[in-house]
Amino acid sequence: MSILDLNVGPQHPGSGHMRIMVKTDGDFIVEATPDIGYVHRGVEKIAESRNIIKNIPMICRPNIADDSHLNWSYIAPIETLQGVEVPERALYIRTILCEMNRIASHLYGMAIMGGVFSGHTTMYMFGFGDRELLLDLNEMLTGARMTFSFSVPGGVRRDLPGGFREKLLDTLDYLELHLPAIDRIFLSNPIFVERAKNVGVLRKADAVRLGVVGPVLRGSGVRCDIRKDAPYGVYDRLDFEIPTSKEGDSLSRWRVRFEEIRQSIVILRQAIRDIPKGPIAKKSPIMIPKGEAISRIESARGEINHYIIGDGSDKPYRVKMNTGSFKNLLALPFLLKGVHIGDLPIIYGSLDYWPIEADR
Amino acid sequence: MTAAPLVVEERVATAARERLGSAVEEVKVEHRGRISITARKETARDVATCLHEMGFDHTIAVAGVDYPVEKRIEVIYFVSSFSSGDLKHVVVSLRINLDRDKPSMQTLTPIWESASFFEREAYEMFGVDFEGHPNLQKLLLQDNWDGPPPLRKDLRIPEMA
Amino acid sequence: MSAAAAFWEGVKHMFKKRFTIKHPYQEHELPDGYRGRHLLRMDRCIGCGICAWICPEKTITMVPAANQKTYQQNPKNRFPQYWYVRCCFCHFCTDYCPTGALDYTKDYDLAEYEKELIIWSPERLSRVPEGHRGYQTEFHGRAGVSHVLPTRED
Repeated sequence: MSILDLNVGPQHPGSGHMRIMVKTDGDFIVEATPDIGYVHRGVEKIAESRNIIKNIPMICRPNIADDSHLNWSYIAPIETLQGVEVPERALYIRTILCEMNRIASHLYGMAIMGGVFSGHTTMYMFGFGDRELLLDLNEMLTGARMTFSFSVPGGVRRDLPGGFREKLLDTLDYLELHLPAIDRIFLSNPIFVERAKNVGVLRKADAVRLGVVGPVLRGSGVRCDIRKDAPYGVYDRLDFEIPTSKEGDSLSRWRVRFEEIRQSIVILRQAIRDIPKGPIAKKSPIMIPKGEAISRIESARGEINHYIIGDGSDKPYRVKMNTGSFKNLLALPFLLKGVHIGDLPIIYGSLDYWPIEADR
Repeated sequence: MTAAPLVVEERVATAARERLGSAVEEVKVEHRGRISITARKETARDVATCLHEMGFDHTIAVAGVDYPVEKRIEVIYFVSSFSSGDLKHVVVSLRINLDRDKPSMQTLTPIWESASFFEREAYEMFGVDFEGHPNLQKLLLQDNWDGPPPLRKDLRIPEMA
Repeated sequence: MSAAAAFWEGVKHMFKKRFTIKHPYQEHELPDGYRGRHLLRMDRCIGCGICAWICPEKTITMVPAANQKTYQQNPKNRFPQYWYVRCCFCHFCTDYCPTGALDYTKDYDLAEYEKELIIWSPERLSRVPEGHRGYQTEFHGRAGVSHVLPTRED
């Protein structure tokens, strides 16, 4: 028996630079070690030298497709420490933007991590084509397609423009019609099912022990979602379900993400119907009082936390950022033991791992 | 903002005080869903085992904070629960103060395996030595980094000038 | 059976109408408030420097106006100058300006062949593009910039 050292990377397969050092015996992987840090830019260190408003674009950049969750997670401890109460209309606008980002991020994930990693270019085209409609809505609301830095402490920067409600409802109607087509070519396609069923199985006990979050956790049968367990914003008033799956293999994780798109459409319809009138922002000073606070927000990839220590000046003393991809990284060496080499892109893709978010 | 009594949080804090006694220095309920426990570095493992038995089964983050004036480095473990129904919204922050010149403590990975990569990051960013960690190597920095630990306040980046 | 259904799902798009916009021959219609380059109204700028202070990337430097015209509301004769290589188009400068002197435009094609041309002087920024419709939000100037005002040149 001879062990071969194989280097998968460093490369940018679809979502960021990453390297996996693999030891193989024939066609089977004996051990896999992830080597991360290729896109580490020191966000936490730089954040100590800029004031809290200047930090917002930098903190949002690690996740380009899903940045309103990172934005809200950074703003929430500052609002807690300052004691400012955000107006209702601003919370509804943040929720609308966050759920639109969740749908766009899942379409991106199914297109690249599900489609391109398994050689399915039609899924790539379908996913990105439908995502363009959501980017047009982002542009109408905020002025930019991605990384909009839209929330500030105290509220949001813009109100809903005229014609936004009709365009949003048209887009949701179109998405509901087109989702069965995505199901037919991707999740029910026997060629993909053959590659992904019973591959990379994560049992419930292992998922809890390794501390994974997001659709990876819900695909293993653990019903946990911050929007239901510790609701923030207006999520305690909205009526939606948490999709879970019992099998724990790669196909069930994709199915959980697919069902989450349907639930996000349900949330968006309620939010745009119930949004109250009122101001969009409250005045808040550019300084953080002395104290510490931690936030928990459910993003498309899992739970993100920001822990901020303030010391009375306009710059934070310490910003600690922990994202869903970094927590899910521990599952990668565990799942890659003893599988075929051809299963590596399928398992790596089903974790929806984003190196920029993990390295910060 | 909320007038409902913090029943679950008080119950957890009281149970922690009774079971741990002098092993901890302080147990405090901060507000809804946030409890803070300050322990000493010698008793960190016992406190962690007790929390694990109470139902807190995974870490959500491990943060290091550098206080150069007070000559200490604080390592904070944020833990929560997936399995217990009423503890899902609670975050317990377990704080351990270490001496800044030679920060070292026993690793908590035998109790919470999810803290494995987080402790590696605290090791390379603050220089904290976790005794007994299965694989204590650099995670994010490059292999030939020879400067001081980056997130300490000694290292000044050009933007701070 | 369902492999054929999956195959047909992709192939049938060969017979449908294309929706690609052939840039640069066809233009994509941009909404009002699109984050393009900035428009400076020199008769409203008071030279406070809040835009330079709030910019995350240190894009803006305050420089005196090139022409001889004096603006009474700007006693120190300081106007913003943008180095567009650094700008990330977050438009915090536009939203936090206390007098509303900065505005959004739909100019996004800012590439140049020479390095000096990428620095936009205040006069060049004040040229109004064709068909410009301004965009004002209620966030302008009332963002709550309180006691922490800049006291040094940024």
